Amino acid sequence: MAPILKIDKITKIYKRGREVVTALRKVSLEISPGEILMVIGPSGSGKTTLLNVLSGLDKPTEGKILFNLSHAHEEFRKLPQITEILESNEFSKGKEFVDITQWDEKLLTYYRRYNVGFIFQSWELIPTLKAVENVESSLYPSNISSPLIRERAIKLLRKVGLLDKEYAYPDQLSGGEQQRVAICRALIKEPKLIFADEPTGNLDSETGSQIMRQMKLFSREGAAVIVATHNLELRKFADRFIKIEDGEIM
Amino acid sequence: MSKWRLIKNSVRFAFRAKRRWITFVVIFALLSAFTTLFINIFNSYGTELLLYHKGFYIKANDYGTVTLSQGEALSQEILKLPQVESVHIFKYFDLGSYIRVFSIDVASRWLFKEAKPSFLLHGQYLTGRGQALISKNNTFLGDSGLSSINISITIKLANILTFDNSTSTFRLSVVGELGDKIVASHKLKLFVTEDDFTQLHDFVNVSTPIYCYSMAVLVNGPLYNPFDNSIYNNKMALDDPDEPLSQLVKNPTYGLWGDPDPGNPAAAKKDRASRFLYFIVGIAGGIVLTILYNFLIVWFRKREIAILRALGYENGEIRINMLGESFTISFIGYIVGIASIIIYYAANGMTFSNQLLSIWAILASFGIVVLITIPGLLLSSFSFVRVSPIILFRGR
Repeated sequence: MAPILKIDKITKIYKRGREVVTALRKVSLEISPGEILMVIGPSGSGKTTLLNVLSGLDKPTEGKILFNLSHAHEEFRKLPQITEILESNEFSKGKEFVDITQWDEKLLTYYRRYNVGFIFQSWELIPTLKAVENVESSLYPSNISSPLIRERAIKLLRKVGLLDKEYAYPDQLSGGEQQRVAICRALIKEPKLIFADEPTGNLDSETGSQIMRQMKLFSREGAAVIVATHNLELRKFADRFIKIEDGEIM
Repeated sequence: MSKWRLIKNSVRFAFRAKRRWITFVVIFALLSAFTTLFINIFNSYGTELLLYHKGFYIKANDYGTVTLSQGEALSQEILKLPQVESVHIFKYFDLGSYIRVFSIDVASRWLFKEAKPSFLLHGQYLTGRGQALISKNNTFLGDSGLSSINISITIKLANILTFDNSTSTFRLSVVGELGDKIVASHKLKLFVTEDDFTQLHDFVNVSTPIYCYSMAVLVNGPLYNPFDNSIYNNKMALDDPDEPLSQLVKNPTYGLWGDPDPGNPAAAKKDRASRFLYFIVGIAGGIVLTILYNFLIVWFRKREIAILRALGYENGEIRINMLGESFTISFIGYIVGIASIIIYYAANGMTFSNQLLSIWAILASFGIVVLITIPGLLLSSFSFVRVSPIILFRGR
């Protein structure tokens, strides 16, 4: 199957005070739908920077991030700018990849809204929302009706075994439960790409393994999952892994 | 649909962060209360002057000289004049030798200068039936001097005045004192509502006639301008010998409705300037605090904003989210603030009908406390568009 993302020699340089830091050096890789790609490396190796640029939160200094529009979310494909590309001759000739580094902030926002799901180390649930509302919050700006959003959220919470906690606030949930809510929040919009940054970093190894098993199950439904971690034990859950050090793939 | 859902949820979720909303509701309540009072001070300054410069009063030369029927006939004549808006008669009757009962038109209480709320001690005023004001520092000699009626009276504030005859009792509670400006030597001056005035007159069953003390004439005319103290009143009309009103007020007992005399013009000007300064400070303070609140909300919800951006919310959608909370909290705070003032006033015997809390002050406060939230939030947008979801990758 054609990859969903093709990363072509991206370099990211930023300044930290007077110091110039090269966080990524000519990184190239491909990510396919349905696979779990593990990015392993020590702290400061460039894993998080890689997730930032791939998710459109940051722009690389050099290089291209090519997104395969034929895998894009249906709603994303309906956007006027995207429809224009899809209807152009170039696309019909098989050039289905577009460089997201050339997009403006608005289009990148839509890219994240429709195609990208995030799972963070500290879960980052909104403390004032109940579990089910946190899951639903991904879809509040969408045109999907509220009852349908609720139905989807409940279905996902049932899948991760949290149905009895749907009305609990985050501070009433354990770390593992909060992370499962965060996974549901990422999945409810049926994204094509899921970026997980140290998703088991704040969990014990048993709970961490449970979370990874669930992510693996979800990846089988078609989303590409990119997990950044320094935990080598998680390799067993990966379909493929890359090691990154000093911004370079080893 | 999505925008409506965002608005609905932002209002619904505004109360979830309990400590935050309680804190800010209290802040907004204080802000709206102070803003309203600030504006009200300034407004009352304008309104009072407006009211007593907008008319004039005609006072009888002496007691017992103008009967009620004469006064009413005169008021009907005055009402026919083109400039006149309304005429109010301030009447009285003597209850025995030592009590003089005056009527107060509760709905037009500003319209005779002695009973202006600003002249009343402790802010007390008649708000309904069964209440009475007494003249300040008055001495009552003990009984009415009437054999047909027994009166048990103490003349302190909050006491009940009880009038007994052979068949029934009539009670009035003393709710306030009136500055002793009305001349009636050696008499207890009792100020009651129009209804009580009529009932008391019937109750004591005396044949004493009702007399007019004075007549307040409110005239149409342009408004007083509080900003430069210009008075666009009808003084010109009164000075114009061709105007019918000027003919009328040639009576030596008339007076322009300007009491109390401003006295020292320099002091009056200084007082006006300081009140204006309070007004500006009040408004500017309200605006600054409201804008500051919106910046604080962004600061408090920084991480949440980062999450929403990561989820793909546009700036406008985040703004709706913020605005819903700001607007709801400021509105609730505003209601609490205004309600507190009204309750405070009511507890002290003042109500809306006293016009002590101007509706304009309330509306202006709404504009400052609640509506400023919108530009305040737009200004604070500059800070939330800089919040990047990248902070979420750094953990806590």
